[in-house]
Amino acid sequence: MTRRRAALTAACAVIAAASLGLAVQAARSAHVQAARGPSAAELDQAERTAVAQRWERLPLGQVFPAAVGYATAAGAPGTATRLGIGAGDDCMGALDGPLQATAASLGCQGGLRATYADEPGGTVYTVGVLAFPDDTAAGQFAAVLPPPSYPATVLNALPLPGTAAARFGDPGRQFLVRRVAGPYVILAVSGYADGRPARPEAQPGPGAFAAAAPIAAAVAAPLSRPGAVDCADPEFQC
Amino acid sequence: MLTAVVLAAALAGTAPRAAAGAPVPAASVAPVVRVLAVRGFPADGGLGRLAVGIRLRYGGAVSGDGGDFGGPPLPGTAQIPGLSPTAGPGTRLARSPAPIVVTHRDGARVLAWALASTAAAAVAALALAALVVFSPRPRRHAAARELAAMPPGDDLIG
Repeated sequence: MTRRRAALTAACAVIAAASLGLAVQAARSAHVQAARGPSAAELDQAERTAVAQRWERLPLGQVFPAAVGYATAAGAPGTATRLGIGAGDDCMGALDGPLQATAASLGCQGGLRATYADEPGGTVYTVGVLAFPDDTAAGQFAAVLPPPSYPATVLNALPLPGTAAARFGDPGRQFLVRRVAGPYVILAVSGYADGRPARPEAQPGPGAFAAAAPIAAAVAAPLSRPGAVDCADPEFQC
Repeated sequence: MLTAVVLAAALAGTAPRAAAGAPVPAASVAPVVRVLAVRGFPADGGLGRLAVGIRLRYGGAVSGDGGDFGGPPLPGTAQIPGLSPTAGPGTRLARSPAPIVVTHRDGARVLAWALASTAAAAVAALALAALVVFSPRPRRHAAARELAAMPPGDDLIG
């Protein structure tokens, strides 16, 4: 009787100790899982998400800077000025017809446009931002763009009534600049402020629209800039 | 539906002028309303970001109110009063964006560990209780046994 009792007691002691240990370990595991910080892979993914959403999170004035410096063909410095930012934000409205379906199939999320004028006001530039879900989709879209041609195509001009670009329409598109920056495809079409249509016999030289590439670069920079995740920032939920 | 509303608004601004004898060229025929694009419907239903391109064409010269009566076509789209084709530089397209979720915690796993911990704690409590029950008690002292055997009250007499 006494031996049996001692055996029972020993068994209870072992079970109690093991259960206590298990309870503590399980509680610790639950706490670790619930209170853990982001992993390196999660941080990387969040950074990429932040870049991909920047086109709609940044104020439009930061996407399209008010002034962009450039150098003329003669090397003189100049400043292109933003004339206005288009109110539309869909890809279809920004692109020529043949490319709309391609952009849609690649998941184009938004198409923003703004129009600039060079310092003398003789040439105008519509720059467009096409936002894709990721770098791959943007690269695929850039790969299917037609080769540079004259007159320029791809991006619809954005004329702005009451500005130097009031007469800049699609027939006046002379020159196209393209650029891929992360999940964004930046396009810029150039033309003359007087709205003259593109004519092969009057094809301008490459230096006629010197501000096009700097404008595209200035637009691409804030959008594709890698940003570190800051858990104190309400933009992120860690 | 919205397109019809916009067209009606555009026509209301121009057609009465023609009917009231405004200078409409002889070559003019019935107005041809061409909707160039209706795009950019905002998610919040506001009209602030509505970009609509409408050209009213009468076939002659350009009217004073922006209607296109012919001649070299105005490049682009005419403005509808009250609707701006441009957005302000301070505009954010996502007005109240949800925060970006960085850490993807496994809620099911947390719950499973919590349940396991609770169950193990309950088992431990039962085992401790059994341990108390089954543990051998100390043998009573002889004097204590004698006292325990006395009838009630006898221990107080001596």
